[in-house]
Amino acid sequence: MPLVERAAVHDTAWLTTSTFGAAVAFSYITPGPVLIIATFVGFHVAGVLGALAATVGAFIAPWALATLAAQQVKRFATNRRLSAFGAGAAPAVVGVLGVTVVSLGREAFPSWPYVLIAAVAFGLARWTRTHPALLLVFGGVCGYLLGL
Amino acid sequence: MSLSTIGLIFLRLGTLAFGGLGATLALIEREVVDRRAVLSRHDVTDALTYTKVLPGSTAVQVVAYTGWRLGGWSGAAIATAAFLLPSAVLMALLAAGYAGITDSPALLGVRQGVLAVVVAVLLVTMERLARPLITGWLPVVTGIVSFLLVLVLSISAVWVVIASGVVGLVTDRSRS
Repeated sequence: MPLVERAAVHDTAWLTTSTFGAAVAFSYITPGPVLIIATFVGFHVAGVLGALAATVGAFIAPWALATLAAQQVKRFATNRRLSAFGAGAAPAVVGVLGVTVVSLGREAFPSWPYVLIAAVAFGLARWTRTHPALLLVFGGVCGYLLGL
Repeated sequence: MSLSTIGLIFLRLGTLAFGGLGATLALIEREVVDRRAVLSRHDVTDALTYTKVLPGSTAVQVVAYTGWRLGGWSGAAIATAAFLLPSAVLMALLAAGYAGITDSPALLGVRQGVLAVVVAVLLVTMERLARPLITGWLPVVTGIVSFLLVLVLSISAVWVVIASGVVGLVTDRSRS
């Protein structure tokens, strides 16, 4: 997801930060993987064909890798180089996710009450098993009341 | 198993799989192991083990893996496409609807409130992802340096991730 944010907001300016924020929210609400956010970006940029192209593009590599893995199970699972690469790259992915959080955070808090909303949502997400979709609805309702 | 059956099974899964990987796995188990008995519980565990090390969305990869077991390459393609179809259609509809409401001032507060929650949820996700990775100083440094390279120097995130993977390869080799 942070790679999508970098590509769609930062590198190409296809989406504004706040539109990307909404796309993230939608990707939590819809079933299936969060990477489905690619469909939103594709549609936003180029309509139905864009959505199709972005969805296929986002999932073709993971799909091919998984299918290959299924075909060559034993050889793949014991591939030490692959897991060393993965272990090295994982912390970088978390770091890049941090950049996404910072760029969303810059626009997320126009006033103090929104910080409070985020703090409550953080607490609920961190220490309870509340579904993210519920938290997003909570945020939307609070924001609506604040905007009245 | 026929391709149309595979398509129908995974279309159902794609409609019901709210809640990410955990929900997807539970649904796959219920459908192909408990109800149809075409694969064993062990096969599903294998699917998870082998796809977890791959880059990309694990839920989709478990689906592709299971699809291959049920119907080869075309089974994998049908399963994945059917699994993604419902959420992709929903996302496209939301994108279309969102373009229509973007300028409505009444909904500005809603968008701001949702955005605040998105930031909070992503922070929790970050913490969950980071915790098992903190096994020494190298991953911590990699994470912080990647963060700074992308944030401050605006280096492309893809290159930073690939470079970190290469660092992982090099340090693994020097260890053995």
